[in-house]
Amino acid sequence: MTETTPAASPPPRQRSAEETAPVEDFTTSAPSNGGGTWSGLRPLLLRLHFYAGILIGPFLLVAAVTGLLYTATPQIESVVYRHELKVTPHGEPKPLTAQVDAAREAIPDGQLVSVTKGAGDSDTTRVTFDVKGLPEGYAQTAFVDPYDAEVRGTLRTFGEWLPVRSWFDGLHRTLNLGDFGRNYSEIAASWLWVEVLGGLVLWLGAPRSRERLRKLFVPRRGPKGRRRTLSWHGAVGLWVSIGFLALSATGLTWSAHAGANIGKIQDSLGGATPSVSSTLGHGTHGGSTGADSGDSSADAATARVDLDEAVRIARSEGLLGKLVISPPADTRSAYVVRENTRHWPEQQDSIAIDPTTGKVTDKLVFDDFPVLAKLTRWGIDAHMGLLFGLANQIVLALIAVALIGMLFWGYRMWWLRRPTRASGTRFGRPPARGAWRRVPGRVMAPLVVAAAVLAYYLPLFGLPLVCFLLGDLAVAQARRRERERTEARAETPKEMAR
Amino acid sequence: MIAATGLRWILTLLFCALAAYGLWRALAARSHPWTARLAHALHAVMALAMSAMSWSWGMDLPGTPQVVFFSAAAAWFVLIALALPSRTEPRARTLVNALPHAAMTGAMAWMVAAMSSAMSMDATGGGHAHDMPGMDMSAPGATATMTLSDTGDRWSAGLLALVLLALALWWLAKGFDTGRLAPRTASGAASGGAVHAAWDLGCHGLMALGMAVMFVVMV
Repeated sequence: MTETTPAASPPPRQRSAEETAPVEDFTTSAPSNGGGTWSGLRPLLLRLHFYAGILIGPFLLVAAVTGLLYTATPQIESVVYRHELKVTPHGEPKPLTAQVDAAREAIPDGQLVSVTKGAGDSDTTRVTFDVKGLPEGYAQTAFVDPYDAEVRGTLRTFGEWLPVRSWFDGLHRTLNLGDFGRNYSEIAASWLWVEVLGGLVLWLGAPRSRERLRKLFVPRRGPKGRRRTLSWHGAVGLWVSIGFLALSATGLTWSAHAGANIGKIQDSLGGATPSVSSTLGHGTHGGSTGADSGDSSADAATARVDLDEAVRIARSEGLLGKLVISPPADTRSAYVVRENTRHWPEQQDSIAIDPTTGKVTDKLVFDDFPVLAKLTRWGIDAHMGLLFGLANQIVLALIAVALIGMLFWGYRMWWLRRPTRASGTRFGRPPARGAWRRVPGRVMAPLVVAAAVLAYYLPLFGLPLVCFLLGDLAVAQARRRERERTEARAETPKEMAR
Repeated sequence: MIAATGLRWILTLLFCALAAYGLWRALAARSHPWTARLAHALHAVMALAMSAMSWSWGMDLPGTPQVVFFSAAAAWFVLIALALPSRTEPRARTLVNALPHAAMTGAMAWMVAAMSSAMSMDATGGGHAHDMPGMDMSAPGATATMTLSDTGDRWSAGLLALVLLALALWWLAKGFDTGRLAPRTASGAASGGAVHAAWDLGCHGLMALGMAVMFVVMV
């Protein structure tokens, strides 16, 4: 494999009609306000933005619609499950042990997993059991009135989510199709940032002669048409781009394929989310008291620390708000009590308590989390609409509506570009083929290598990209052969005439 | 070998495709000088060796013949550039064009030597198959990886990875430029010679990129 043809300087080229289109013609024109690399790169970026928008758009639309529905679930939950969630305070609360006993009677075949003591006086106590036959991640939870230990209902829960929210959560993540369905949301998350960054570059780099700033940020008024649609697509996209990028990044962190790779990278950077050690005698986070009780655990039945005592110890250690208590799994395990307040400021401290001595054997403070772990926590909670409560939900809903709008405007521009005088059903013309030939090799090569690296770490970005390229090559090859056949047919009569 | 299944298969397919291309160019391009066809054949052998090295059984292949072969190939690229310079280019330019190939082939020899060295140290160290002084075999059998444990070797591997990445970018850039600037017919087809030249450069680039990844895995 030796070189035979040195790179030559580009030949002079006639500007096509497409390239000399009006300067604001975002989707089809070549730039006229800059030269060099950018003018070469822009058509390629435009083509990628167009095809990704057309083909990934449906995935993004489903993600946006299901995400929009999800933003309303806290309010729906509080209405639908009001009986299970809220009580009117009356008298003194019963001991947690008594509440758990009542829950056990309601779910006799379950194995106790955790007890969640509400933050407010009117909250019920949640007692969660692992029950055989439930799908992975699901549990059965009894909701107990803390004042009279009456079980107000039992529900199948997914983590801390009640059925309505877990159904919408599943719809948004997997379309309720299980692991296979996760691919849809991962494709959407893997391509959203590509569309957003590409669109931003195109919009910011689009030539504008006057009122440049205003046209960037404010949608255009005037008669309906492709330019006005483009103006809405670009200006709204610019305003919401940070939200789109944040949703894409956080969505990727808990996707199946890319999420695993991101997790590995996070671990290698020392940003893994730590957890408190529940193993007695093996505290890893410098507990506030000595970890000397490893040999003191006896039969769980001899435990002197009950659930109420564990809560009291946790409160004395500074744990606030809603507490989740996980009882010892065996004789070598400790109670784990953790805060579960996921709105700002987050309270996520946790401690391990020796069930026989009541000593704190390990303590993990959220402030001591690695920065990456904190960012992950905040990102996930913001994505779920938990971090800033109602404001967070409203912002998410607006972002979802904006994404739906972006897709609508994008498809509308495609529709408006269709040839109206042709007979039959015709689609809008895509950006011209062969855009890569305008990109200098010194720019194209790093782009290709970067895309290859990204494609490896984000497989559902890479696989569709490879499919696009192969499909595009196949179409190009077919059209070239068709043109060659046409040329040959045209040549034959001339030769015969001679 | 490479522990990550996906990466292993990607590199295997890449190197197999490159080997097939190199072999085809060596056999089909009969009008080319024998030196060019031999160069294609050498690249094909190197791609096959790299493909094998992605797998655990590839690490059992005898190292010394490979080191000798690839060292000789590296020397051959330099010597042939000095002895039989191009008719259209000055000798210095021919040599400059040959050096990246020599560097890539030499890097291949170094990789095999580093792995063989680690394996032989293990063999003399009492047969602790997964506790080798020069190489960290992270797990037995199929999940073992070829991570180097010696600091000097790791630095060398990192440096070679950077050099190969630079070469990959250089070749790919030249390949893209050659392909995009090739004269075209009315139907849009580029001339055959330009296409071959672009593919040759692109394949060099992909080969260097694949090798860079292998070196990164070793670090």
